[in-house]
Amino acid sequence: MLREGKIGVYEAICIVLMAITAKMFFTSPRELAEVVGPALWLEQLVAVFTALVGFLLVFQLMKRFPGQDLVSVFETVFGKILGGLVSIILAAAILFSSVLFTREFSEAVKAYAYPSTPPSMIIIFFLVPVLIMIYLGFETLARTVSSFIWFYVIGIISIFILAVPLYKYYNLFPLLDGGIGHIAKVGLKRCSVYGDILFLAVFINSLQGIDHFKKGALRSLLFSGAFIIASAFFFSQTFPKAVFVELTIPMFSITRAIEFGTFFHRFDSIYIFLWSISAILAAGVNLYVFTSIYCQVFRIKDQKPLVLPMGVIIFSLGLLLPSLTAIVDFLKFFRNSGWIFYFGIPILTLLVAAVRGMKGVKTGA
Amino acid sequence: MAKEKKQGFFAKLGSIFAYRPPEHDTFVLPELGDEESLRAAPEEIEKAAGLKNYMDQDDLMKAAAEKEKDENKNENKGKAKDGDEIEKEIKGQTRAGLLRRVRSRKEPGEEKQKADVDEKNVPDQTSKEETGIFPDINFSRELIKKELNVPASVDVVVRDFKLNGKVDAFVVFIDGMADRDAINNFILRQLMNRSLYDKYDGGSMCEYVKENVLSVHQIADLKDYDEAVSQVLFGVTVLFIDGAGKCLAIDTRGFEKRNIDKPGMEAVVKGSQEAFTENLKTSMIQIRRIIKSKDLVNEFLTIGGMDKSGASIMYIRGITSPSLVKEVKRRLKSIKADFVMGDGMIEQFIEDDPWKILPQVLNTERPDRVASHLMQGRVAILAEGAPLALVVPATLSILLHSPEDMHLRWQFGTFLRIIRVFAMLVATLLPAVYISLVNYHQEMIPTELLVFIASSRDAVPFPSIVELLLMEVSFELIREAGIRVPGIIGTTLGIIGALILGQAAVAANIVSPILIIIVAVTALGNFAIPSYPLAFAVRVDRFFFIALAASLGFFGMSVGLVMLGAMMCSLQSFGVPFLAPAWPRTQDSGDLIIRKPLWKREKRPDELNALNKIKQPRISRGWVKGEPPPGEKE
Repeated sequence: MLREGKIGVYEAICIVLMAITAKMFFTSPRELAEVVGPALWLEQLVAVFTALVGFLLVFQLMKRFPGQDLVSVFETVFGKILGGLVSIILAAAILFSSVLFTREFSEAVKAYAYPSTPPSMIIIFFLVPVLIMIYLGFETLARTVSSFIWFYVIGIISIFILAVPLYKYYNLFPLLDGGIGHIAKVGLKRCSVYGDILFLAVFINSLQGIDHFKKGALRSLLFSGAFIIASAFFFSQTFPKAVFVELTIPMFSITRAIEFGTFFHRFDSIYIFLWSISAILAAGVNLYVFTSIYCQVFRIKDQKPLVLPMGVIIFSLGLLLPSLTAIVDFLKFFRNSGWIFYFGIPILTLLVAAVRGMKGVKTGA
Repeated sequence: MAKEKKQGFFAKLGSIFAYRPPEHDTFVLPELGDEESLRAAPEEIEKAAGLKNYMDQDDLMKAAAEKEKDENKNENKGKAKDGDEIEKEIKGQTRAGLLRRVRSRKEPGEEKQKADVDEKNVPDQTSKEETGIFPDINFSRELIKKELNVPASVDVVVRDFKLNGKVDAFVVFIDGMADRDAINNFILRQLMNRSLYDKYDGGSMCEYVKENVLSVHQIADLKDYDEAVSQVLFGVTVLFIDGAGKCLAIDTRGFEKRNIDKPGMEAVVKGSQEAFTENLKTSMIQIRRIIKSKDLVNEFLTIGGMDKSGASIMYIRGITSPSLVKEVKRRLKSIKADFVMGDGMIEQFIEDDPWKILPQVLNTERPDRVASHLMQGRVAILAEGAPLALVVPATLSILLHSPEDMHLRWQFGTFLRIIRVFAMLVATLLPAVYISLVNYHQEMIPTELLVFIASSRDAVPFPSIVELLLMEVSFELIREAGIRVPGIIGTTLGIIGALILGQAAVAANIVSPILIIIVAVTALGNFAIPSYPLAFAVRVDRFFFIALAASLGFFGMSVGLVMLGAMMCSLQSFGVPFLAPAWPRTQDSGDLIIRKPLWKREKRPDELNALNKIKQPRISRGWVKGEPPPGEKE
């Protein structure tokens, strides 16, 4: 078992908030706009509620096995080998998502800020702080994320405030583009955006009890949902659908469009800090979850020796992806079917546990 | 007296017969026996340390060991040697041999000695045998001389005399460390004054001298040679009396020292204007003068092996967490280096993570600052020979505070703190931001400014990174030279050097004028950081950020910021997170960046786990709310 230390509800919220909301800086909003148009924010509303239901089922599972984290719950329910396999499938999904995210980030940085820099160099620079954080451990990671969270929140709010002159309310119409059924269907599938909430179940022993887990998860879902819905709302107001679907990274385009007089313009560069830092921290969280699951499954007591090999693997996998188009396709697949891993596996575990009548032992703690 | 002499003789005999060589025949310095490296054979230690003078004694040690073996044989035969022979032996032995002899004299021969005592019915014999001081003064004299390298060390004075004209005695002190007037007028004159012995009734001479003869304020009994030697090294005069199983440490510390002066590094406009000096005692008194509390505890420790540097730990009983005090003592006592000089070296031995660049201990030259931290529940460490105190645990917030914050009204104190945070950011990031802007993100610079920067750089042949590094390195050189050059020239060199060099560099088209502004503002930011070690860390970090910015602009800087953030988040000072109370979040004590009004600062910092967390009641200004004090009704 890794010695992961203790974190509070505040740190738990920060971790999940960062992991979930960092995605909206990249290609996902555009891809969704293609599917649901100006109803993007309504689709996210459905996704949040779906994720909430999913989380409540995960909570039931964790409540059934008090004092156990997700990996050990899998092992209890499915047995050591099958449970380990299930954990590894989940870890692989998280690793795959991290690799996609890393490459997506490097392509975005290359496209918008450093066109002549090779992606390999950007990935190396990106991975160094990520690996350092994983090396320093979970407590450090949680504190680092929580130390940047206000900078991040204020940064995003400032974008939405500075972009007020760009908002055109009529861009929100047709409000239910594609119909309610279509929006609901997409929303149900896209609840995987909020699947990172499952990370708290992996770190449940670092939180102080099941109540903190519930409190942390619900609050982080609330905040990240509010953030993403607000972003989607403002994106839809800023760009008409025809323009929106042409933008690779809508958030970046908003920051580029902000200007006040001749002196304050081209703010996009300053926001490189915002999306670089958030991407690094989100990747750090994802990869730490992968490391933690991996160490638990294989009974590794120290994550430090894994850091460098993991860096090499992610770097190599990241470069194997051929182009931004291929990355977008992979992401589309993962965002549509990620719920199978994030919510599907725990719900299946809950069902099996219920059918077999399995319960954990309630400890005095 | 005669009895005491007799006991001394028997004890001496006993120790000679009782001697048994230790299991590993090692030349071990006192207090260092448990260190693995020092368990090596004496030859190895001496060779490793290059101590030739110790090597020369090798033969002597072997000879001493052989003699001791012979003595064991003599014990079996039951033969006793006379006093003259023993003295000759003592003179011929090495320090190690003598120390071994003293230490081991109680072990196998103890029963024999007790039997002798019973046989002769000599009263008060056992109590003397429990002590570590050998009652025979010749033995003690030789041992002390050998320990303190007399006569090779000319400053060590061993002065023989007789008490009451009859009893042999000697004092040992270090000339210059001890106060001559005190020794001449209040020790030697008193001890040799026969009229003071009129009431002596034949009891313990040591006790009589202590109670009736010496007119010195502080006297302590010592029962160990090591302790006696280390006291002498601290400036204490030690008195040995023939036949006594202990010696007297008489406080005569009085060496030349610097007067209390104004603080050089932590000057303030409002507030106390005195700083510590190199004298440990003066520094301790300076703190005591501020905190007149019975609970202020001052513990003294010796640190290190050979130099036996003195250090003092100060804390407030009832406020400071006992586990913190215990940890500080544990770390200080565990230092096993032969030379630990001053606060700087102690700091490096006790800090949590020496591989991280940020300071984990607060250094301050101000007694008022130490006092204020003691009252919050921290521990102060004062070192002999250092005009700075160490305060632990240290967090980033206290490194950014200045003692002046408390003397100013809360609005101004808060303003100054915000300015300092800004200064730290400027000192760390400004040159890197400049490099990022001119190399990668030119679109962000407004057109007019961009044209100005471009035209000013037009004649400069170097890329902007070379230009920046030239100026930064030149500035660092000026700064370093300014410190090394003596007196007023140094200050002048710092200011004039920077101006002339900058002007000349611009005139010679080596750097652009805007860069001079960038470097100057960066330097100002650095000087505004109140902690010297933190300012140093920022200076080094700046180059790291310049390198990252030159590589990948704002993205490179973001990478650096996350790494710096992670490093700070992982850092701890005596178990307290470096970024507390912000990350992890602990209860607000009203002393982070916004300095709350004094009457609203009710709690001590949560992260210190103080025993008494409440600093003042909720209504600390009694005249505002509630009942006025008794007898003061309007």
